[in-house]
Order: sequence, then structure tokens, then C-alpha cells
Amino acid sequence: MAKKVVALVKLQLQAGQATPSPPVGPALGQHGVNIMEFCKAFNERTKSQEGTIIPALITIFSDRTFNFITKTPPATFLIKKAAKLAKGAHAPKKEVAGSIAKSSIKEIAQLKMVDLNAKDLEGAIRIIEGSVRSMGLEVVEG
Amino acid sequence: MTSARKGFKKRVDIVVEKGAEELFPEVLYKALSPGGIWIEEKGNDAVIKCYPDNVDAFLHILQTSKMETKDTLVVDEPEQDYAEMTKKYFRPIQVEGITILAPWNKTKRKGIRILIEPGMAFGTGRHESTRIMVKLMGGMDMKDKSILDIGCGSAILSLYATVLGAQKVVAVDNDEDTVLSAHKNIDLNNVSNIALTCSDLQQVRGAYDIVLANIDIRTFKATSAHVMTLVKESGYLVVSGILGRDRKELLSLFNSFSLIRMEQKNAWRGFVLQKKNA
Repeated sequence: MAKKVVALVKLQLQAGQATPSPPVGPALGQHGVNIMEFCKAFNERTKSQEGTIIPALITIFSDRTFNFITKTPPATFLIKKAAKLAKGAHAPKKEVAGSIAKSSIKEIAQLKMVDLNAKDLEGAIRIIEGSVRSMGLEVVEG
Repeated sequence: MTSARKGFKKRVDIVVEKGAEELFPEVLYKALSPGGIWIEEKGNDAVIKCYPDNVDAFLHILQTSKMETKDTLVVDEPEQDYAEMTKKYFRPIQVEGITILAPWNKTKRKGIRILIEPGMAFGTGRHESTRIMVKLMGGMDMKDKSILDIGCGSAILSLYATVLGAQKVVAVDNDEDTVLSAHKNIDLNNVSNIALTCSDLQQVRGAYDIVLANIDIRTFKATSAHVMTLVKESGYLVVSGILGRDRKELLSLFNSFSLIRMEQKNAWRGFVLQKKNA
């Protein structure tokens, strides 16, 4: 296949819930690809992860065909899952919404390593810890 | 103030540091319907494009969410029917006298038709390399011949080979999504003599009267020795997906074959090569 990449599009969508309305429609429509085909393929590939947000990177080729990869869910979702929280603190700097174990942070950092702009695991852990604090969670040993 | 003009939809663009889209809070996803964002990277920044139903409420949640932003803009975007947009891009096209249609197209044109659902498989008839293949194939006798289509993509070339009277076509691609699309296209055209498999080129066995290979120079460099074994003696290899600058390299890879025909469209080249008798 003589594939030539003409565009890369980045979306973060509810697993199994993609529809041709915005943001999928305008993001892919401007490149003239078959939007329904993307929605069907994305929903099929992510149906087992419903309830999470899945980043998708779509590569569009010169004959208007496309390909895409899905990545790990964003850090906030993984943190909330690990801390067994429905949501973060309303006022993150004043109120503590819950706690998360150091070992869970390390696990998330390891999972997210592939997608994060971090030199090593330590760097990835620091990024995740930053998100944890901004969500009003405290880090506990364990 | 924030209600959209008729025919326009409000979009909120949030400029953040690149990578911070990862931290986009769940409360904001919930204020979007359907939940999802579009990220465009610009230098060290990322622009998160959001389409909330209620812009004021969304901006309020954004303010209280403590998400670190560099800038926030509210933009009017023309509303469009995106499903229709797809259809507009895929109208019937003519390639060497053959009409290539998407399932939603209607045409009064007579003659040969091939139905292709445009999706994740290369080969919609819109790329020069596909057009070159169709042109080269049209000049060949495929009646009752055995055909192998390597890197079959949408199966457009396999389908055309059956139109030209091929007895049996084996179509191979190494990408699972592509094979699913190819399956759909073969069903759409009600063709029963194409055998489709998902496999690496190196795993393909047998020898065929005609081998179709719309691939690329890198793949040929890695596999040319094996590809040559797949062609019967005096059989043909039809090659496309080659840029003009790679012509010499391609021909030297297959220098034990005779060059029968060459075609070009823009920067792209295609060749018919014949295997010599031993």
C-alpha cells in the first residue's frame, strides 16, 4: 500500500460512545474521511472499557482512508479508580477528597509511561503525583 | 451573549500546556455532550476544543475546576451535517472506465461497477497507485488465471481481477482492520471466488499466474526474493506504489524479470514484470 500520511488527529472520547456529532464530526470531517466507519471501529475496540475516556490518535492517508490507535485512559481517570472516588475535591487546596497509596501511583505511572513525556519512571511518578495533588487527594504509604 | 447564532455551534477552545489534556477533569467531560474533546497541538501548547451544550455553565465549571489554562476562547463554528459531508467526499468516480461507488451512492452510469465502503483499508480508487494498477491490469489477460493480491487493502484490485475474468483470487493483508474492511467489500460485490486471509507476506505460499503488489519500496526491499517465488514461470508481477525516484531500485530488485510495461501518474510509477523461464 502506497500510504502517505496527510493528517494526524487527536481525540479523547468516551469508550464505546463515539458519534458523528462534534468533536468527531468536525475533527475528521475536515479531512473527508468516513466518520461513521471511525465511530463503529472505535466503539467496537473500546466497548470493554465503557465508563472511561480513551485517547485516540487517528492517521489519515492521501486516499481518505484512515487508521487509528487507542491509548491508555487519561491519568485522572486512573487515579480516581485507584482512590475509589466518584470525583475529585470541590476545592482541592482546602479539602481532602480522599487518599491514594504510593504503590498505586507507581502502577499508574508505569501504565502511563508509554504516553507520558517523562524520561524515566521517577519522572512519570512526579507527573502523576502532581495530578493527584491537583485533585485534592493525599498520598499515603503503602 | 453566549447563545449560538443560527446555523452555528459554540466551541470553547482551551489553550493549555502540551500534555495537560491528560488532566482534563471528568466534570468537564460530563458538561459536554457527547463527552469528548479534540486536541490540536501547536508548538508547546495544546488547544482543547470542546462543544458544550451550555457554554456559560461549562465556563463556570472550567473556572472552578482549577485546571491550569493559558487562554480560553469561545468560537462560532458553522454547523454541518457530518454524515452528509462524508458522502460528499465519496461520490462515484471513474477509473479506466470502471465506476467505483460507495454503498450510499446512486449512479445511472452503465458498465462495470465496484462497490467500496471507504474506511480503514487503503484502496478507494482515489490514489494514483491504485489507478495505475487498474490501468496495468486492464491491459492483461486475466481470464481463468490464478491471481494473488498482496497488501490487498480494500480488495479493490482483487474485485477488479474477478471482473476481468480471473478464476481464483487469493487476497492477503497483514492488518486485521483492513481484512475486516476487505471482507465487507467482497460481500458488497457478491463475489465468491476471492479467498481472503490476514497474514504476513513471508507466510504466503504457492505460485500464481499473476501477482498484484501495490505496496511500497521498503516492503519490496525486504521481501523481493520471496515475492519472486510466488510468480509461476512466464507469469507476471504487477507492481505499483513506487515513486519515480525509486524506479531504478525497484527494477534492480527484480532484475531477473523482464520489464513488459511501465505506467506513471504524477510522481507514482507502476510496472508489469514477467518471470523468465528457468
